[in-house]
Amino acid sequence: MSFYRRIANLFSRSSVEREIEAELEAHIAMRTEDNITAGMAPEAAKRDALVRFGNPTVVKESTAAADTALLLDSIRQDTRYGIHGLLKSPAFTATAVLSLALGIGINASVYSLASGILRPLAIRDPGSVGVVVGTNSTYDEDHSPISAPELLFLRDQAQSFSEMAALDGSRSFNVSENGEPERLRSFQVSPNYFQLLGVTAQMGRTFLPGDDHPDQKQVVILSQDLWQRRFGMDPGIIGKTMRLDGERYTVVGVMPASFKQTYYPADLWIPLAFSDEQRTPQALAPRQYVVFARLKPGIAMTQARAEVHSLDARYSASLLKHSTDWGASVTPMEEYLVARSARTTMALLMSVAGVVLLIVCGNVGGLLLARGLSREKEFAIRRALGASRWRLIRQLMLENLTLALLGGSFAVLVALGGVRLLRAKLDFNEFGAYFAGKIIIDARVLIFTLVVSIGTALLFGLLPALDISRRSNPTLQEGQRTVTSGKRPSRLRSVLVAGQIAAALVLLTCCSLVIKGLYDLDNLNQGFDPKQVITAGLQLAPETYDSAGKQRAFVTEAVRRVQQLPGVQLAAATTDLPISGARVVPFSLEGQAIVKPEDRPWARYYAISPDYLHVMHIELIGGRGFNATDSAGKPAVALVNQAFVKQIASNGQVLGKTVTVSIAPSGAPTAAEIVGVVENVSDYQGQLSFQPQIYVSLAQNPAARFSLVARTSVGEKSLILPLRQTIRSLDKNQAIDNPRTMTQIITTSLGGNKLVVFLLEIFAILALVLVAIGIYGVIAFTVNQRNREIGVRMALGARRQRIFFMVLNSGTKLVVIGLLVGVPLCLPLPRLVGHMFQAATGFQTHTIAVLIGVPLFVVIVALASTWVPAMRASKINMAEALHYE
Amino acid sequence: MPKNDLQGTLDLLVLKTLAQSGSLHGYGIVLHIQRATDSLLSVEEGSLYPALHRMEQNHWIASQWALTETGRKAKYYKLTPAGRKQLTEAEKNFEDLVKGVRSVLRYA
Repeated sequence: MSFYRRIANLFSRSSVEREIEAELEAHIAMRTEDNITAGMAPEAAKRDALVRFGNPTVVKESTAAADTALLLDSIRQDTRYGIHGLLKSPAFTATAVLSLALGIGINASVYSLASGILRPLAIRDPGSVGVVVGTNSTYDEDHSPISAPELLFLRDQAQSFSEMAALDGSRSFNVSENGEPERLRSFQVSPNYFQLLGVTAQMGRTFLPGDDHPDQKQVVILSQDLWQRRFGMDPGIIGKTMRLDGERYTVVGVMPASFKQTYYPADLWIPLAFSDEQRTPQALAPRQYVVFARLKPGIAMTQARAEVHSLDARYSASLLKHSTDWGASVTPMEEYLVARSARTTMALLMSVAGVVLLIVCGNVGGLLLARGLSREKEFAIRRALGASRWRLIRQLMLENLTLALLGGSFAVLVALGGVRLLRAKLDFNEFGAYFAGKIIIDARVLIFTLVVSIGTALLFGLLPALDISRRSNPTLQEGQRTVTSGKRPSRLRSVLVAGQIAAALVLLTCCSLVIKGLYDLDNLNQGFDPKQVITAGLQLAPETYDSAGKQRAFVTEAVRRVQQLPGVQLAAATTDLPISGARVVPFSLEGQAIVKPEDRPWARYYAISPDYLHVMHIELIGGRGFNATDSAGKPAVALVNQAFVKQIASNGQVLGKTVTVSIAPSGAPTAAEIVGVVENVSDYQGQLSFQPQIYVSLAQNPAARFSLVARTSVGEKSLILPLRQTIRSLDKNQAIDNPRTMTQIITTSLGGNKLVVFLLEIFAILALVLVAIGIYGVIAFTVNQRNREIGVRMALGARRQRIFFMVLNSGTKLVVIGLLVGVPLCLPLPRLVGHMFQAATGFQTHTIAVLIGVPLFVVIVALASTWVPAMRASKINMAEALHYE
Repeated sequence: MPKNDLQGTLDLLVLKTLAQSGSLHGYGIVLHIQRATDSLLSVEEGSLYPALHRMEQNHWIASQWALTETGRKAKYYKLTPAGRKQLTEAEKNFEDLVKGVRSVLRYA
């Protein structure tokens, strides 16, 4: 009977009983027939048959018992026996369970992180929603928003999509009613945006077609958060109006809190309308639209992509193209929202945690082998008493499973701690904080933990179980002496340890490469000094500051007042901070060949007040910086960066030339004379190659949106409150972003990297410690086993030094084997890891140093963990060792 | 100490029977043992079945439902390779037992 059938029998006893009954009835019937053939009367024949058979009920019962009870009983017995054995050696059990708990626990933690971040979106059929993105090989960009004319062109032409909706997150609103003035993050979305995603409002409605008409009354949808924060969850909010940037909007709906996860957090949504100007393809359009597109049924993402590619080619050929490097493509929405790098990172973390678990398995397997050796007699007795080898394996595996499940249970505790830690570490910015909320120990994580636990039992337990059961000879040998250690177990243990060394080597190399890479990336020369700088973002309310003059007056006065704050050395203002992704504008340089407007080069655009360079410690390379005389009405001035000089100016001469910048989509171009050259400053975190930058005077080009910056002589955090109060004293209705230090901004943009580095460091240290324990364990164990042998050697005149090196050599052998296996596995790692770091841009982590340094380090740790048992061996008391047994 | 209880003997008889006759149902095994021992050994026929099912659990024998010559449905048993090995072992054990018992009887 098959194993499965036996299991099935446990649950369907009746069918087994029926089968047995049929079998027994057939027997009695055949005997009766034979009796009749032999001449008996039918009744007597039947009676004789029953007498010969015995009580059918009893027979049936005992037959059924033979079928069903065996397996269940013996499993119960084995488990009880196993638990008893585990309790009898608490040190072994505790060590094994704790290592397993740690190993499985970190895997469960990383899994909950990955499953929280890569969770499917809560929208209708997320698989069929794509994002139309701009791509640019020059900027290594494949997720850029696209421009209005191209969006409208695609929306009219593309056949693959049932509908398309655009989102523009570039606008924010000031609100000053119902509490503190505040800047609200808004998304302008096509009216069909919510319908395309298949989400509904929790109250009121989402947008309707026509909500975007300019002659309609203006409508707004609130986020759950804003509704709660600013309106106290007023149930009658629908139909009320709120003032945004001084204009009246009617609230038509409130979105549920869960909707946040479709895109970055927003406070409110308003309908997106395209002006006629934006519809003209000739208009220079900024790339600021994220375009969602739902595939028609039956259309694959690849088909849609092919269509967009060909439409884009047609579009480029026919009309304008800002730069021939730009193209368009379609990306699945989930890939768009969770960057590929996040997926790679999760895969990396999962793999690394998996390797740590492998090393744990190696250690526990080693422990089991050692324990098996001391249980040899026990198993020999059991074999002699009739237990089959299979039965012993089964029993050992049940013990291992018990261990693994115990480890798995404690692993849940470890994971609870791990998740708490991850959440705390994810608090670096609002996206991190948002994801932190999704990292939980849920059913999926628990199932993962269970599966990993069971898999672990197989991984660490199967080899030892097979090995131990093979060596359990059914014949008992009395008074067995261990003159030399049994060859088999130590060989298997050696293989395990060598494997661990190889695994640790691969893991450490990988971690080192990534950590080094991230470190280099985080510590690139960014061209400015972020320390002791405090910043605050503002967007002047358009109803109050409706002219350039008013904006200029506000900025000038704000900078003056901040400058006077105690602790402030120097204050300035800028439209964009470094590493904050300043806007890109097309420009032309005097003396360059005249090109079509759409073929002009692009530069990052900053409008700054005179002291900005000094506040940020941006070095002036040539010419002069701005000063107070570069004010409105004076000749327009500009600064450019080194990349500008290198890439744009053919002869390296830019000073005195006129650069013409088009700031507004259709506004008049601004011309300014280049008066200075400054060093390159990072436009965004981790920028590897610099683009041209143009700085103009903020006094000559006032803006409603800017940041105040100040270099401080005291701890910059102490200025957060005074800075805020200063702005409030200027205009109590003016909203201001919470002031932040430049270091905080950098941390915010680095947070993810920091977390990854932190985790990799933990895993690397764990792996190293585990391997050290593993090596120590196996060497110390062999020393114990060879106690007597060492005694004999000493008796025969071996010197202590010789014994020491003998033991050290056995460790060295393991290390050499580990290196021989591990080093070739490490060789492809630099290339693999390089992929994570945009190797195309020439970014290099110092791979040679890592490839030599890590093995060296592993060797040192390995030898150090051999040292202790080797020392002990060399100090063995000869007489004691020989009397030992 | 080899297994030499009565249960072991019954197992031996069943295994040997199946080794000689190929495939048999329980009743057929009883008849064969009776014939072979000239009715010297007669067991309570029902007690054969727990033994058969136990041996099947041990993978010594395998079973299959089939029709008898008289067209009755019966469960047929046959030896597996593991059973054949077990038979050799059991035969050897039995001979040891007989030898042992004989030598005791001789000196009694």
